[in-house]
Amino acid sequence: MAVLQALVNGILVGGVYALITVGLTLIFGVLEIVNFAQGEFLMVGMYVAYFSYVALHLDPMLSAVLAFGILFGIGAVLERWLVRRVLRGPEISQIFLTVGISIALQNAALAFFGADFHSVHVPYQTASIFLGPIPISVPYLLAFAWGAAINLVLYFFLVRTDFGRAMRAVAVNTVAATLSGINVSRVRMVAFAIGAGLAGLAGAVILPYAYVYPTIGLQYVVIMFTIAVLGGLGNVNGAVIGSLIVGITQSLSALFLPSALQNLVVFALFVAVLMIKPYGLFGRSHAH
Amino acid sequence: MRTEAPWGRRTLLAIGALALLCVPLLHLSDYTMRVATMTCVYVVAAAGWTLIGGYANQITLGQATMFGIGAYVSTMLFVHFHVSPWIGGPLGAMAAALAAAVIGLLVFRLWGAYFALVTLALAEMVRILVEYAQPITGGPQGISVPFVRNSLWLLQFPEAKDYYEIAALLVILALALARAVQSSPLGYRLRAIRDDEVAAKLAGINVFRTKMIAFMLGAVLTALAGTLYAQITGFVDPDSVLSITLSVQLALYAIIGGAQVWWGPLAGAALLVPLGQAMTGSGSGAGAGLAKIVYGLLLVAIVVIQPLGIAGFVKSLQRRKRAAPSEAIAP
Repeated sequence: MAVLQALVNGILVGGVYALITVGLTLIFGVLEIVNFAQGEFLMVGMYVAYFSYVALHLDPMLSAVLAFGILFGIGAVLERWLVRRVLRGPEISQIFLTVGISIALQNAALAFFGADFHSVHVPYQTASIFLGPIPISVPYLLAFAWGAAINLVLYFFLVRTDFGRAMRAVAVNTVAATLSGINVSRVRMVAFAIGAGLAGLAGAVILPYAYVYPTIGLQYVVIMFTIAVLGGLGNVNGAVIGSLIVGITQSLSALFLPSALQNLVVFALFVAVLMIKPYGLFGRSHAH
Repeated sequence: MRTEAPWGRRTLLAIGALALLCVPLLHLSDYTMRVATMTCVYVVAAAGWTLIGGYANQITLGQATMFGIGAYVSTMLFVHFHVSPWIGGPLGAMAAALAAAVIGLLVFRLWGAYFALVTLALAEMVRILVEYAQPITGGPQGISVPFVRNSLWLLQFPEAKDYYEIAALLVILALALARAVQSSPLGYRLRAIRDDEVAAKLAGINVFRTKMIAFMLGAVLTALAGTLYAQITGFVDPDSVLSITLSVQLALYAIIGGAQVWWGPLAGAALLVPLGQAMTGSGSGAGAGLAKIVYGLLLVAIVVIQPLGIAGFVKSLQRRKRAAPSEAIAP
């Protein structure tokens, strides 16, 4: 029974992780950079939802759309003015550009919003519905639903639309994509913007059961990286599987380990997988 | 090849080292000396990152682990067994070198972003374990170094500024080591790996061994800085010595100063630590936030404009100066 409950929780949490991580994976797939600011994009999304709630009494499930829009804009601007300039630069620039952006965002939040923890009060906050004998928390279920919906939409976008196909073409082979007339820099900008937007949306969606504070991004970022790398950086479907693996591992290990050590198991799994498969479970090797 | 007068340069360096040691003669304020002492600590710690991250381009985001091991090992030996930090520090450095060997064994096969991410995850694992081992480490709340008495043997002084001479000596040792490595055969091998790992391997360089030596040497430097930090602040907790934030900060000092030269960490930390302290010192948490915004923006500006940092600006300035006379001759 406890195992079944843990399994259900794991799948729910995994679905939310899929939402949080898919943007990171998309950005790596198309631009081949690891966005270290993804956790801070999530944090900004949480603040957008928080202030929408305080000022307009907007439910985070709805302000998620607003958070997506705002972060989409921020992402587009950052790509256009900064990220673009390091794509051909040395590795150290590619890594530390987004590290710099994350430091700036984190501390801007600290300077303007203070270090206090904030949360919202929604009617369904503590509600749960029963699946047979197993209680399912409503805020988690709603976040999971958003995650599933977004991943489906993204899947159809990438597979069925011309722009999505162009995006996949750039991910596979930039030169060939350029030669077939794809505007590669525009595709990259939109991919980065969507990736940032999805982090913002995820931030809003998790707000009903999480606190927001300036360094909340750090809480999620290592988990995000773990999932993205497990699934193979750049592999959107792999990220979903990685999310479920991590979610289930976390909740199952909580049964026999103190909660303080939950993430230890996840990180150990992460390191072990990379020892055996240096490019992740479903990753392909990127040419140097 | 450019010929230089090695003796002239060495004299200059010796004068610089002597000047560093003589700073207390200026009778600066206690506050300034405290900042100078902390700057020294971070110069040494960042020099440890430079050896592997800068010289060999193995961009680790887990250097805080080494700092934390240095701080925790000497502190725990002192608290539980009354061992002097003069013994605890080197033991901490050895422990850090051992940790570096284990981590290196796991990560040196990985490339680029994967390397950075796994070092980050391993550092988080160390932090989780230290927080969990509450009975011996003090857990998330940290552990205090009890003040026994004003004693050189216990490396305990009443004020941060009293640690200055020791910190400055450590800076001189660390930078001398970094400089020696840079111009040694090891330095050439590291540079070959930085430029093209595959080519380095084909040229017969034992890539794994070379990285390992640099990583372990760097771990020793950063760990010694960690021990000194613990003695100066009298308090060690995971947030201040084992965090992602510290790992990033150490890399940031080295990169802004110039990650590929021995004096990069000196330039970076000497610029940023006082800046951070001045803005934090102004009181509220907002001040700390503002200082770090500047860190972030500086980092963004540097990697976009000049990835070689301050050293890169100096180099291009020198090149322009050297080019100028020949331009004058040309019609």
